[in-house]
Amino acid sequence: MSFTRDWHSRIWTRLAVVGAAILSTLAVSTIVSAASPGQAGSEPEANLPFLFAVFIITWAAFFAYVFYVSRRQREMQNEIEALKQALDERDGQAAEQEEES
Amino acid sequence: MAHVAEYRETATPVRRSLLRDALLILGALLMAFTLYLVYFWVPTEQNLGVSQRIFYFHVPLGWIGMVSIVVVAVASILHLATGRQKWDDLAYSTAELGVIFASLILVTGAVWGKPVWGVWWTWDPKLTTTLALWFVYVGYLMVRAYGPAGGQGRRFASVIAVIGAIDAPIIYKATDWWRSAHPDNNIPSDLDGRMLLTLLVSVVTFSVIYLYLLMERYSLRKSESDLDELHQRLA
Repeated sequence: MSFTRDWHSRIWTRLAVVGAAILSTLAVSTIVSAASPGQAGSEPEANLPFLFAVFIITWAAFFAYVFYVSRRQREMQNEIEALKQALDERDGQAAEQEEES
Repeated sequence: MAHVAEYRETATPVRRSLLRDALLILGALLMAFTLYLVYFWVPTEQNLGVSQRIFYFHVPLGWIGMVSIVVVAVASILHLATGRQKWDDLAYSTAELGVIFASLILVTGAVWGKPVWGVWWTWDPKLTTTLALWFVYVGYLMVRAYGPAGGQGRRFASVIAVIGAIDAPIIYKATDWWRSAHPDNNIPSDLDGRMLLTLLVSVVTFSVIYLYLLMERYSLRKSESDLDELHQRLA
């Protein structure tokens, strides 16, 4: 059971780190959008949404994928637990049959 | 219980956990540094303006998308040659990541294309061959999902991956072989040093994140394979 619990805690730690990274990205984006009028270049403000869109799409994809992997891992751990239980029951039944015979 | 003990011996997902955690932390730190460089440090390109900064994300994604198909192909060849499960696990994991990165290449390219070319999409050789790469990845995963079960399905998918890898050099040389609106592969000799450094840091950052994601997925895939094997033994 500690194996499963360990996995869960590790997954949440990782998700927390990835979440923090996304939040920092959004924070930086907000700061930059507030500071953008001072930037040089040809109509920089007009293209800022495109730049932010790239950031958000990229991070959303990474976050969704990490979420998928962690969820799949959790499902697999449940399956392993069920499998272990089935094996224990089968071994128990086999031992009982041996004793009876 | 012997089966479970064997599973734990072969899978041991915590064995490489330190390295994965280190990669995750390194990736997060590098990404923060990359954000600083892209937003605050690198100069704005005179002609394209701020939209040129998409370049620092689009190019690393493109690089990783290309690397992925080569890894899938090499792992598939090794699987075909040796029949070992670990090569197939690597190919599958890389293909799954390849779909994500190829999708991001196409999407970020479209977001770049709109302010620069005025259209979201055009049938440019570079774009079209990259779309073909996306279909190769999806085709590989569809064969794995819906094709024959067991070794036959794995071999079919491996052959698709090897054939699909032919697309990688075509994408790379597309701007040389055909008339293309897409910028070519060569870095201009007069490129600002800060732009070059930002690009290199960004490539390293995305490579670290890619490596972390690949290790996570490979670990999961290996466990899935072991679990499948256990089910087969129990059946």
